Amino acid sequence: MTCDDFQYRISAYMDGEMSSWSRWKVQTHLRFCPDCAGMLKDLSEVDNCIMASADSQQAPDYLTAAVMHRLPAMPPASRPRQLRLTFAAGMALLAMNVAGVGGAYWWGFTRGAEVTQAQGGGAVVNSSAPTSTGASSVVPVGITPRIGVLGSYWPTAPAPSVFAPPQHGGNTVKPQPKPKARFVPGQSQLQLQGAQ
Amino acid sequence: MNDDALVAECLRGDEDAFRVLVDRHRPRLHSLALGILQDADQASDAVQDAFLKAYSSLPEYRGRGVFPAWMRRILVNHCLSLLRQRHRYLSLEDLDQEMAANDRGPEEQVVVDSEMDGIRRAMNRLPAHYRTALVLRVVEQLSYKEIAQMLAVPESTIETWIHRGRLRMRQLLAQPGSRPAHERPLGSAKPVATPFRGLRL
Repeated sequence: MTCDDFQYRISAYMDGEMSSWSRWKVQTHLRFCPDCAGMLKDLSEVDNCIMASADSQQAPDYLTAAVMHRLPAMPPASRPRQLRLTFAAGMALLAMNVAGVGGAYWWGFTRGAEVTQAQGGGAVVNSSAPTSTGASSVVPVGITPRIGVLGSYWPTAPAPSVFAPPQHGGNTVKPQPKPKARFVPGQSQLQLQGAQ
Repeated sequence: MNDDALVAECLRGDEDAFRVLVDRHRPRLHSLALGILQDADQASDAVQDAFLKAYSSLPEYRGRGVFPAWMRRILVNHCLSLLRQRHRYLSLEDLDQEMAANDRGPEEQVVVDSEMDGIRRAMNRLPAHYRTALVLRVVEQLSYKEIAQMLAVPESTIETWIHRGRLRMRQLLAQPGSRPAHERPLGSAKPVATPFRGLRL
């Protein structure tokens, strides 16, 4: 180990932050190099100076009283406990919500299974699920509609877009004109023209 | 009563327990703050602020007999924030410029009244990050790993800072301005025992 190598790692050697092998090499070098040994002695004196500087001035006596005097202005030490209670209450509320939604789903599945069994299996006619054509929807076997507090939401055909062109013919019923009201003198109420 | 029991008493609202904690750790923390800040008044204020921060954070204390280390971390962080406010993080180039500006002849040197003033003067001329790392290593006897975690820098950087800090302190203490007036070459030949008397020029 050269002097440059040693002087680069001299602080690590002083502080014990060196492997045992490197430490042995440094100690061997120190035996034969008076310059490096002198530098090590100098840096040890620097450490003594720093220690002496830190211990030279005592902490003032008023420090404790000053800290205690300023304590009442600080928030109480138990404040984070309240935060913990708030967090626990929030978690309990979240758990109740999850349990309620889960229960609603479970109740819906159970009710759907009962409907399936009551109708004898096979294809299940779900009259409660409206479709765009007005006919009953046919639900495949093994899939039960969810009927619960959230209502029936078996996927139906998408609603026609308001931008789609009007479709006539087929099963589409032509809209009837709205009857007009006509006033007849001598009668107390209106008669609707065209009404039966 | 150990520190953890006193912390538990503080959390129950016993302020006297906190007074015991302050009395117990005040001297060591003040030495640490003084070593980093190199100003007695600021060190006292920093220790007060650190204790008040610790009081408000006591419920977050999860240690098992590590209250001194916990307090030390709070104090070091506070001292570093103070140093940042003072813009005292000087690079080596800045330090060299500062030293060149302060290099005066023997007649212009400020008279250093005591040995400790000379050491403090040299410490005060160190870059703050070198000084902080040196104090944490030499005074608090922390390992490089602990210092690196506290200052959030790699261990190799801490080794470099400590080494350069020692070399710079050696250089500063060897300057004539760092020595007491009665120890200057033109003064009396009476030898005076100083901690840095053995430094080679």
